[in-house]
Amino acid sequence: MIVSTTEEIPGREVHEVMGVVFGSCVQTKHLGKDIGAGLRSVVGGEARGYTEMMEESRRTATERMISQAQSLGANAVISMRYMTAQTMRGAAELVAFGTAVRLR
Amino acid sequence: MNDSALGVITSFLFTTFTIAFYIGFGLHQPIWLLWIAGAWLVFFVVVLLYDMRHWGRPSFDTQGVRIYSRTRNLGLEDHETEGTVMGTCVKARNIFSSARAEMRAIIGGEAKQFTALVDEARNVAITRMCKQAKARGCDSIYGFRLITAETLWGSTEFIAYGTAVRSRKE
Repeated sequence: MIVSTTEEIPGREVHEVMGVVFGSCVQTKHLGKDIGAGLRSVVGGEARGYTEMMEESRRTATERMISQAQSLGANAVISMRYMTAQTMRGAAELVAFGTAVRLR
Repeated sequence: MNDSALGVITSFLFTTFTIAFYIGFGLHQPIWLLWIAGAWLVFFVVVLLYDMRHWGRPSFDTQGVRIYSRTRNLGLEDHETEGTVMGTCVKARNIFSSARAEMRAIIGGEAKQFTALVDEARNVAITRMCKQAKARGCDSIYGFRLITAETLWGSTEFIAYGTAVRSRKE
């Protein structure tokens, strides 16, 4: 499975377009890491716990998108984009979406 | 003087005098003012020293990886796609800069503290993305995108991502 942010894949050709696939993950705050992040907002600097946590949940969203593309019979996702939104109080929604295609 | 230092100092003075004003008028005990001013001074010095790490930090390090934001007409017949690479950074600003930036939001104009924060965090995110591409043996990144999101905890998250491309010749 090739996942790409570009519209074309070098050396390959789009054979069939399956449509848009989504993968999302709603992440709420972690109580232990939140204490560290709260301290960070006083002192400043990078909240490492949250960097890792958000990266992990973004990876989960990407995996969900990939499995949706696989169920459609695609072998690549092109024009992939990430999006983050605060859906409700205390929760962030991470969305990965792209176009599932079959490459030749 | 460094702009960041100026921000820290002015916001420190502002916060100290505001607290001293309220408590001083409430209790009529000048010794309390000394204690609070002393505590703030210690805190201020600690935060200033901590903040100094970021002063004059160079821009992002691409590790020799070229970054392009275009997504079509790539002209890469002799290359192959490795996959998506991503670098993220969740950043929080210290309380002094936040206080001054919030004041700035009322008056209007550029919040220089947050400009510095944005630059720093973006550089970190891009550097991480490039490191990841380098580790996977890629020489360029196409379809580069950068997003900024305010996460729930008053900190800002920066995500840099793109498609790593490897030359087929090697």
